[in-house]
Amino acid sequence: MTVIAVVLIGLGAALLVIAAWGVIRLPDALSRQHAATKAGTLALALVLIGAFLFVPTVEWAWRLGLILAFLMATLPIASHLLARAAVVEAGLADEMRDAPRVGDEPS
Amino acid sequence: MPRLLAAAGLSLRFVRAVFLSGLQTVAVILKSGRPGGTPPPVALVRVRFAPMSARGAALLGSLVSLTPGTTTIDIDLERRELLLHVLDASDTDALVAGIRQDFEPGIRALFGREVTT
Amino acid sequence: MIGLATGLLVSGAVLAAVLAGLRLLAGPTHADRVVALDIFLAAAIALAVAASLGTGRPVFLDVAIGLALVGFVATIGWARLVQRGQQPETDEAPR
Repeated sequence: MTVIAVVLIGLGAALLVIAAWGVIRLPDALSRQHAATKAGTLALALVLIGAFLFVPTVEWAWRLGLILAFLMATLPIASHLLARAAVVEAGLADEMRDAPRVGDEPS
Repeated sequence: MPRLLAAAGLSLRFVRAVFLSGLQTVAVILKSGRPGGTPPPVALVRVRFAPMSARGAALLGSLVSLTPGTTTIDIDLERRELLLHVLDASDTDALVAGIRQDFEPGIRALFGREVTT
Repeated sequence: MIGLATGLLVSGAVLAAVLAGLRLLAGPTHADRVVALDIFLAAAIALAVAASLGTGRPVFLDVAIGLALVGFVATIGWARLVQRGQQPETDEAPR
């Protein structure tokens, strides 16, 4: 159990570094935002699950669950607003209006 | 009870989608982060979604945002379109198919019957 | 084992914070800097979890809960500010 926990926490730490690496290397603010918010939250989810496997008690479990729930509930709203701000700041409003429609019609 | 099952199925599909596209996003970052690597083909695209209530559309937008690789920028309820920013736009058909298969059935089971606003 | 886990976590979080700090300095747009702050937030939560694991006290997780909430409000505030700064004042009519 502790081995799985260490592996999960190690993966989470590595993913956090990869997310920061993406923030450095990706070409524009919108792409960087993908790396930061999504990969960052996935990394934290792995770390939190790993921490729970280390100390599987109630008083740890509800706190870890609450952190994960807050992150999951707030991330879409924050990333939505930040993406809109980035689009406006990058002057992509026209591209936003003329964005092509992809995929078939829904059933 | 069917609603409970739909919610459970949606959650499981969501977790699977997050991990699969998380791996994809990591691959994109590592590929474009190497010295001399190519930046990913980013794109802004619109995707039509099935008829559902405003609350369902909000949930769909949130789930799409939480899935790595796609960010919801705008939800157009009148035209039933999501405006997405896609990190790796080399295969948008698979992306749309993923949204259709993973998220829409569960959300329609939960929110599809309400009046569309 | 728990020492190895906290070691990995702390080094990962510090490295991520250093990289995000570079992006914070480089910019070039405000949105880039807010994105870098998101990484800082994730690193801070990871450090709080590491502190909790290292000391065996769950109180540090309460810090992480607070950080998760404050970070959300901060990101929204920055996003609004960045968006408002780009538009002419007349466009920002009260809604």
